[in-house]
Amino acid sequence: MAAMANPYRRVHGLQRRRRGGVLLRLAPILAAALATPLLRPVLLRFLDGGDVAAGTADAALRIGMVVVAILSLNLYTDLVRGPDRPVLDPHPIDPRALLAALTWRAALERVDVLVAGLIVLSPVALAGHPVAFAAGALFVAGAWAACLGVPHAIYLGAVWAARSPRASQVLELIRGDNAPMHAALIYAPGVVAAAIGLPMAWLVVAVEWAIDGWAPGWAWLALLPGLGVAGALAARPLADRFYVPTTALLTEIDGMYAGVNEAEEARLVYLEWTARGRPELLRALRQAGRTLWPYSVGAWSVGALAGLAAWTRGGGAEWATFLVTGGAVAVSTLPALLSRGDPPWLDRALGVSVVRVAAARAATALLYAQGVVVPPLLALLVRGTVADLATLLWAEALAAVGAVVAASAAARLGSRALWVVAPIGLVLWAGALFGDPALATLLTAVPGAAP
Amino acid sequence: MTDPVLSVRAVAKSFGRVQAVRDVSFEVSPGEFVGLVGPNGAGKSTTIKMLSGQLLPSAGSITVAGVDVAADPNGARARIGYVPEEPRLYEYLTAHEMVSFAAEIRGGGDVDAALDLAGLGGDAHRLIREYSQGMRRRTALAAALVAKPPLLVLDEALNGLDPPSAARVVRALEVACADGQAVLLSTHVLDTLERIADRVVMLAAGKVLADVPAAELDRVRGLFDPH
Repeated sequence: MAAMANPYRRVHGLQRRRRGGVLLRLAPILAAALATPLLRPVLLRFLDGGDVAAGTADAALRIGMVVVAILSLNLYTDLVRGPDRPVLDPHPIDPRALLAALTWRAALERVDVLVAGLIVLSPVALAGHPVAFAAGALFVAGAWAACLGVPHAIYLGAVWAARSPRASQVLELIRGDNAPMHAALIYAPGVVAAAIGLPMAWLVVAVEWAIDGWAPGWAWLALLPGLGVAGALAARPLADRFYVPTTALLTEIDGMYAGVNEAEEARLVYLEWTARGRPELLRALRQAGRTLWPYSVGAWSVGALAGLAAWTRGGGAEWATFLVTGGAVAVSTLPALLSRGDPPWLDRALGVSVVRVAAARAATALLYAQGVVVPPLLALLVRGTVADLATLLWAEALAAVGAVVAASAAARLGSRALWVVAPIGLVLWAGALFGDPALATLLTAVPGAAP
Repeated sequence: MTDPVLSVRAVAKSFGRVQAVRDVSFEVSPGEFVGLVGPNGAGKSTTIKMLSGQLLPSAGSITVAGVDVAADPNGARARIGYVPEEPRLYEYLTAHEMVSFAAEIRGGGDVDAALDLAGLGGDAHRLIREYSQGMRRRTALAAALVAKPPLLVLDEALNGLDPPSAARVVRALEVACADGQAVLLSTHVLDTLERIADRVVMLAAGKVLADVPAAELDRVRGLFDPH
C-alpha cells in the first residue's frame, strides 16, 4: 500500500488521527455556510436577473483566488517552516517521498477550503443553474488542485534564488529592510499568486464557454489541474536539491535577525509601559511586539484610514465602522496566535495562573485594537455626531468581547482557537461589509448606535 | 592511524558584521569522546549547527566520514546522529514509533536496543507529548543512536536533566564509544567531561582556546573563567 511505503505519510496519518480536532476543521465550512447568505447580495448579485454565465465566471474567479491565497500560505508554512522540518533536521531524508507526503497532507487537511468555496458558490445551483454551478465548481476545484503542485516548485525555487548570485541584485532591489536572502522567501507567496492567478484570469473564460454550451470549454477547465501536475513534477528535482539546504538558509536568516534583535533588546516593545507590575501582560506584550509586530503597524494603518473616513461627512462614518469592525475582528485573533509556541505545560511548570495568562492576552488584543479605534474616535469627537461616536464605542465593546472570547478559547484550545475565532469574526465582518440586516439589528440594539 | 570521522578545518562563520566563529579546526577519531566546551556565546552552537549541516560555514570545510557537509548535507546527516539542545519530535507518536521511523528513514537499526540504551524501555509506548524534557531528549538520543552512525553530535545534551537522566545519557554515550562510534558533546559544564571525555576542545569568543586531553582539563580550566 502506497501509504505504508511512504514513512512520512504514515507518520502524518498517525499524527492526524491522534490529534483529533475534526470538528474544529469543520469551522471554515460552517463559516462559509453562515456567510453565504451574507455574501450573495454582492458576490452572486447576477442571480437576481443578470448574465448567469459571466456572473458565475466572475464569482468563481474571486472564490478561486481566495482558495489560492489560503493554500499558498498554508503550503509555504508546511514546506519552509512547518512542523516537520525541525523534527527531520537531524535525519537524512528522501525529499521526493517527503514532498509527496506534504502534498497528500495538504490535500486532506485543506479540502475544507475547497468545500467552503463551493458552498459559497452553491446558491448558483440552488437558483436553478446546475450547469453553471458545475462549471464554476470545476474552475474552483482546478485552482485548488493547481495549488497542490505549483507552490512547492516556487518555494523550492525561492531557496535557489536566495542563494544565487544571479538573483541577488534583484533581491537587493526589492528587499526593503529585510535580509537579502529572506526577500526571496517573503515574496514567494506573491509569485505563487501570480503564477496561478494569471492562468486563472486567462482560463476563467472557459467557465462561460462551458455554461454557454461550447463543449471544449470543459476541456479548458482541466488545464488548471494540469498546471498543478506540471508544478508537482517540477518540484520533485527541486526538492532533491533544495529541501535540506533550506534549513541552513533559515538558520542563516534567523542568525542575522538575532544580531539585529540583540541590539533592539534594550529598547521597549510597543505598549510595554502599560504593563508595569503585571508580568503576564509584560510577557504577552513582548511576545506580540517581537513576533506579531505587523499587527501594531496594521492596526494603526487601518485606524488612520478609518480616521480619514470618519473626518469626511456623508457616508464616512459607515466606512469608519466597516474598517474599525474589520480591524477589531482581525486583532481578536491575537490571543490565539500568542498561544502558539507558548505551550500550556510551560505555564503549568512555571506555576503561572492560566486565568492571568488569558487575561493578559485579552488585554494585549484590546490594547492593540486601540490602534484601529482611537483615530476615528478622535475624528468623530471633533466632527461627528453623538450617534456616530456611539457606533464606534460599540466597535470598542466588540473588540473587548472578541478579545475575551478569543483569549478564553486560546486558554482551552491553544493556537487551534484561531479556527474558532477567525471564522466567527469573518462572519460578523461579512455582515458589516455587506450591510446585512442581522448585523445592522445588532448594531441598532445599542441605543444610539445605528450606523 | 585511523582517518578522523569528523574533520573541521579553518571554519569561520559570520552573520552580517557579527563574527560568531573564526578559524576553528579540530578532529574527532572513531571511538573518541570529545567535549566541546566554552562559556555562553563562545560559538559552540554555531559550530555544532555547521557540522550537522544546519548552517553553512562562511569559510573553511567540514567533512563527516569523508562527506563534505556543505556539498552534501543530506549525505552528512546519514553519518551523524544529532541531538539538538531542544529536540523536536512528532508529539502524537510514541517513542517506539518515533525511533522506528528514524530507523526506517536511516536505513534500519535495532529499535528496542536503542530505546533500552537510552533508558526508555518502559515508557516507549506512551505518546511523546506526555514526556518530560529529559525523556524527550532521551527519545531524540535513541533516534540518533538507532542506525549506529559513525558520529554522534549532542548539543548541550546534559542541560536541565535530572541526575538519573543525565547518567543514562552518559552511559548510552559510553556504550556508543565502546562500539566504535565517535561522540562530540557540547556543554558548558566541565565536571562531567573530566570523567567521561577523552579530549576537550575549548572555545571562547568564536576561537579554539585549547584542544587538550580531558585529563589536563584542570590545567586549562582557568581559561574558562570569563573574567
